[in-house]
Amino acid sequence: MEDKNTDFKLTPSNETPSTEHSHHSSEHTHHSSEHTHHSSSGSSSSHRSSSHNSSSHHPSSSSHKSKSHHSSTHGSSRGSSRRHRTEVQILKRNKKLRTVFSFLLFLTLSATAIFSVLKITVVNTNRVADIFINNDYINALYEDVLDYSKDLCRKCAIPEECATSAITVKKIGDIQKAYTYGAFEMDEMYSESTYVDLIKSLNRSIVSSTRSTVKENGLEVESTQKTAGASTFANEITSYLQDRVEFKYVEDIQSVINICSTLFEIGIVLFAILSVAFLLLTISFTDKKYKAIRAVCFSVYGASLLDFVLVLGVGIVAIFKDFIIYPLYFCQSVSTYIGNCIWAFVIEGFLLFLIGTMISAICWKYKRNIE
Amino acid sequence: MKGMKKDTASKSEHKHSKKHRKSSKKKERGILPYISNPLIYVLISLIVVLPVFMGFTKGAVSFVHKVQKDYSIDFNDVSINTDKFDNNTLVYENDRIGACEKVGVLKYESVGIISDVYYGINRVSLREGIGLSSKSTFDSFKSKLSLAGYSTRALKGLSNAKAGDIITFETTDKIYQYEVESNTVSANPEVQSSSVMVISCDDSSKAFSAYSKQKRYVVASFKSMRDKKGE
Repeated sequence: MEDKNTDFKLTPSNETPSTEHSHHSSEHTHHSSEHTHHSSSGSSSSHRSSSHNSSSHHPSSSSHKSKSHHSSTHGSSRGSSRRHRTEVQILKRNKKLRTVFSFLLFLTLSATAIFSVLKITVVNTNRVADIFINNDYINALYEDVLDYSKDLCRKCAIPEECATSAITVKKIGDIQKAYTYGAFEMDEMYSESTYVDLIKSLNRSIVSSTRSTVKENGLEVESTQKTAGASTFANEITSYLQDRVEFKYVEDIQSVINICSTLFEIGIVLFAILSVAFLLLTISFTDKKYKAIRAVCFSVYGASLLDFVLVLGVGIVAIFKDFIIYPLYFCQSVSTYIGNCIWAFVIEGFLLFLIGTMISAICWKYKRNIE
Repeated sequence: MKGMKKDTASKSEHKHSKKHRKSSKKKERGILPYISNPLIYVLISLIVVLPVFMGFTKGAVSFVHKVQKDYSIDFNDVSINTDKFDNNTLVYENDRIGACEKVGVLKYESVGIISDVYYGINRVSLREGIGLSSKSTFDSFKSKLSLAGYSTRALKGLSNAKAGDIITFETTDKIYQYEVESNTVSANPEVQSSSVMVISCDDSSKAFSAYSKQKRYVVASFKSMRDKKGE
């Protein structure tokens, strides 16, 4: 070390020999020992590369160095410059590889993160089913059916109590849940037959409620409708309810969820493994620890940024495309689901940004320690 | 002298390298790489991500269009609209009148009927008054108006209609007068003239009479028309 320091003092391109040596040692030892990096204090990689460049671009300085150095010969100076050039090339190659692996880490990390959010929110059967069974939707469906029933009461010249007493939020909710759980195969308690049974049960209660109300109010019933009137009335209400409850595209959605869920699961595992591999590779091709951490940090920030770009893209599509599906409460429910999915992406992006910030803080700490 | 020159040369190089070191340190310490590098990564990745995103969006949009076709607007999402009528901006052309929009007022005072008339015979229009069929034609003297309502509500008392009675239909700017020709209960109305008004409702006010095939039809022929402003 003393020789090197003397050399540092004497030579005009003073950094070259010492950095060469420390570089050389670091290149060869950074896999085996971290200590070597710290021992080469006072010389950051940038210093080295700049000094390397200056020495390689100015052969006169190296010749000058060889002249001033008493113990060195022409042969040894040529050898050291050759060695120096090789080291520069290795450094450059390492930097390239680090950048490439950092980019690949960014890609796999982004894919893992995006697939995870898609799996958790977008193709999650529970979340999709929630479109149809959330409280707002069920309350709105109840109001819709009740409005229809009241109109039907007016049409049939019977009191509105016929409908209001028989149709309750709980019954409508149970019917909607039975259909949704059955269609999405979420609960063994519910199936298509449960749904049909509940509809029949509601029909029966409307018929009995109508008959009793007509009787209680002493209403005169149309002669041709004495037996069939109440059941026709109940059938109209239940068929309207069925129209509202049953969604044509449930099977399509279910099959898309199943396929995408499997694909995303495979994708998450695959990209997670690749992410770990690229993380290790990014860390491997470096002479300084902080550079490796910084490269990882770029990947994490990139993944976070990509998330926000995707959210922005969805926002732009939402601005330019009208999203109206009737009934409006269904549209509202779907919008809430889409909003939740977008929020999941925003949160994911924010979390990645936080992780990136933490990594960059660690990176700065390492760099400061080295300096 | 040579030694002096060497010294100055080494000093200047030393200064130069110090400067270089400082600038490179500044570069490394700045946050720019933390912005530029991820940005470059994202821009490069967009080459792949953008077409995938566009494809996904296209698929989603076509699915939404498909659903929109099947789930068109129903009367649970419609309410009556009186704005155009109240502002005298209503244009009496079938294509330019919205569902459940107020189009006029029907007055048949001798049987106690005074009710607003809304476009379309549907549960929303009938809930609030009388519905005017969308097949009706507005052509001044040759107007053919087909109206319907609940026998228990807006058209209560229509069973008392008699031939020769006068029914008036007020639009935003005109008052049409019709003279009752017939009041019958049948499966279909008997209409001879083209410029008529047909008012229909259930035969009786009995429970479930709506399910009966027999309906009451009051047919009235056009008598006169005058501007509302003259009133």
